[in-house]
Amino acid sequence: MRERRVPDRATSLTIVLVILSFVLMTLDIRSEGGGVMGTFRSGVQTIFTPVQAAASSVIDPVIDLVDGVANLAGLRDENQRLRDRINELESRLDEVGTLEGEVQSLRRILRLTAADEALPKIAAQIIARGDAFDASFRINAGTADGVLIGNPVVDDTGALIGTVTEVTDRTATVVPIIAPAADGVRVKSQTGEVGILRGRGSSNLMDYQVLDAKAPVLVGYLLTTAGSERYPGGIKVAKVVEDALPEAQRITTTAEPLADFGRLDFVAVLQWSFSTSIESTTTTTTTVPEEGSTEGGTP
Amino acid sequence: MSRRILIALASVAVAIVLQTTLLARVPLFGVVPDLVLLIVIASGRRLDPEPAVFLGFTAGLVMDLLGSAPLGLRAMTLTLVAFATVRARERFEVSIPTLGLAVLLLAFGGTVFLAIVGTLFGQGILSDPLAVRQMILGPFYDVILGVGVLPLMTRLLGSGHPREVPL
Repeated sequence: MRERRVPDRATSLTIVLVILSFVLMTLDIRSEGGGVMGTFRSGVQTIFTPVQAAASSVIDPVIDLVDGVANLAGLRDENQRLRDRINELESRLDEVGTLEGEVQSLRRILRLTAADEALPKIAAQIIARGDAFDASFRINAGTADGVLIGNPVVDDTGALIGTVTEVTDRTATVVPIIAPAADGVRVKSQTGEVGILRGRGSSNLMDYQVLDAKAPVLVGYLLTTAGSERYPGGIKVAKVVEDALPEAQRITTTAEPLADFGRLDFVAVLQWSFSTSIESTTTTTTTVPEEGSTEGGTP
Repeated sequence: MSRRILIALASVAVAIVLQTTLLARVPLFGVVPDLVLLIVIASGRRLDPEPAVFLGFTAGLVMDLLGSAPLGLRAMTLTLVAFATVRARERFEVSIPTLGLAVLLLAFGGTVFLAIVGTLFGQGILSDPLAVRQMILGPFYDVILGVGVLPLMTRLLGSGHPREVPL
């Protein structure tokens, strides 16, 4: 008769922990980061935040210094390239100034305000990042500063970075738009056609898809948010890097985000959420604004 | 709780802080080493089987709690990496090359497992063009980092032989 093998304690413990992990994953996905799992997550983040913030405050300047020294030769070339660019741009300044005046006058007529100008911002520093397969990062601003889940996050130039997905008193987790797990961003190009931008991960390129396309998309086209439940309209997001023609009324091409995700240190959280935007729009349609007042998008 | 387990837990905490603040900021060719996984392997060499497996689970769970991936993804991965380390340590603790090869295989197995299960749970990891590079280069970085980390952990945890799991 064969002897029955009894698993040792380590094997039994491993099986139990693997099953527990599987259950946790299922529950976490079902609760969409909320409930007990969300509370547990907030608790651990609160414990680690001071240590990570302290470590970041020491490590970041050192890395920046080393990065600067290592890129010294590259910086010289870049300096020259930027000088050429300044000369080129200065020559276009008069033209742009005239256009800017026209835009402002049209905005006054239409009583519009650019999205990133109208929205209050909260400046924050990145204090921790995810590992190789987790593109998310944590910032040192939370509910105590006015950050809410769903708030869009932009970089220092106003380019879209991502959305706040978790928030504690003092910290918030941001999932960048380049993460494959992030929801697509509804954008429009200068042709006015609306498409969806989806992240590919750490490669820093994104897939841009337009359904019901009529016009071609060309290299250099700026893509800005088209206004959706996730983002207010008018935030610059990416530039098209491959020409594409409509095929069966569909365009699929590649775009490069304007934000440099590899060098992010500071970000700004836009205090915008779809619900407050709706309220604001409702108020606007029922009241007659005074001459010269700004409106639209400000919660 | 024994002194060795406390030291291993403290090492994991330090590794998590370094992983999320330092290593994540300095990718080489877009790839970062996994210090937490390396600490789990290093601890798995020196701890008794049950604490080693539980340490893997705890390290992974904390990483999950600090990130945005589903809770339990890294906990499952690191539990299995710790278990594999405990199971195989008698065989690879023969020479430095076999130890290096073991770290390489354990890191590769853990990274591939994480990528596959993560993709199945909606993280889209395998749709990232750099994921394959991370899976191939990452374990080599871990071996290089292991040259410093493994002796350090042996020094901290002691070189005495832990209780073995009957095969």
